[in-house]
Amino acid sequence: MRKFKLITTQDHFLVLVEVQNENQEITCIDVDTGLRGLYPTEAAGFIAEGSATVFLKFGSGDWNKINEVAAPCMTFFSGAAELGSVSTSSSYRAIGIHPKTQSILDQWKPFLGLTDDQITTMLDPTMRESFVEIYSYTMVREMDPDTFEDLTTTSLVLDSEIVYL
Amino acid sequence: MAEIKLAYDPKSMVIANVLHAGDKIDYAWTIDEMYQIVIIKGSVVFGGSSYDALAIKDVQPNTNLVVTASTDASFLTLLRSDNESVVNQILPPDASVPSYYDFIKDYRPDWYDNGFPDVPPDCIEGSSGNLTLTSQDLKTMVMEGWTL
Repeated sequence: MRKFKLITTQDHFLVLVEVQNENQEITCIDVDTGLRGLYPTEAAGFIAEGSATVFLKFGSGDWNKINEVAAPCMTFFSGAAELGSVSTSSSYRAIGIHPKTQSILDQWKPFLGLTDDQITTMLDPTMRESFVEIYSYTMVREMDPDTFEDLTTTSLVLDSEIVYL
Repeated sequence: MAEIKLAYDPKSMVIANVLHAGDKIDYAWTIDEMYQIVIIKGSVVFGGSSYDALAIKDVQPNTNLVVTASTDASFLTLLRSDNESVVNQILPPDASVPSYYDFIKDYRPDWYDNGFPDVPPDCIEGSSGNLTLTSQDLKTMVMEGWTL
């Protein structure tokens, strides 16, 4: 099970990911395109608990496993490759840190499923000295930690249906 | 010893602070604006009060940040590198670098051109002990850039 929280602070917005099982997908998915964590702007990240594998994909290519990481761990992202990540520990917590500006929020809007009203709330000067949870939701998406194959949608094929050429 | 890592880009500067139980981190600098810390793991004592993750606390202007870990703990310090006044207070100009603000603003690691980060995550291993974080410590990390 994966829990997302989006929090706005004085100068930053924070994306908190908590996972309570192994093999759970960690990354955000663009709600319009279905693409995963393209990181439209630079972002610092910190893994506070647990461990994970990290994958990259370019265009329509395959997912390539590039790192195995374990907390505590500082990281940094920027780029056009799709980035995926899967928990490999039963408990995982990481946080992405982004400067809070209109342009950055606009670029992250589809990945975080933000509404215009939420962005307005986050940029409201009266919220400047507040710790405001914009939303929180929980979902389950089980992934293979070695291949990044989506295990929740994998369908079984009976042996009798396999044709050997 | 308690450890810190610094991440920055032209807009943001984040200090990751990793402590074992009993460790203390003491920032040897202050700024005249409020900033915030995020306790993301464990329990810490800050300003005479105890806080458990997940918590966000304000650091008041001109206040030395001193945090003691009650358990193994991590917290993040959130600063803006596009605030020239803040950067100059934390990283005052010196003979070798006339403006750390300009350095950060213009810094582009080689891997920016690759289309994806080739900087591996920097996993932290540290032993117990206290740490005083000076401006010079941060200047050293800024100048090292993202060469983790």
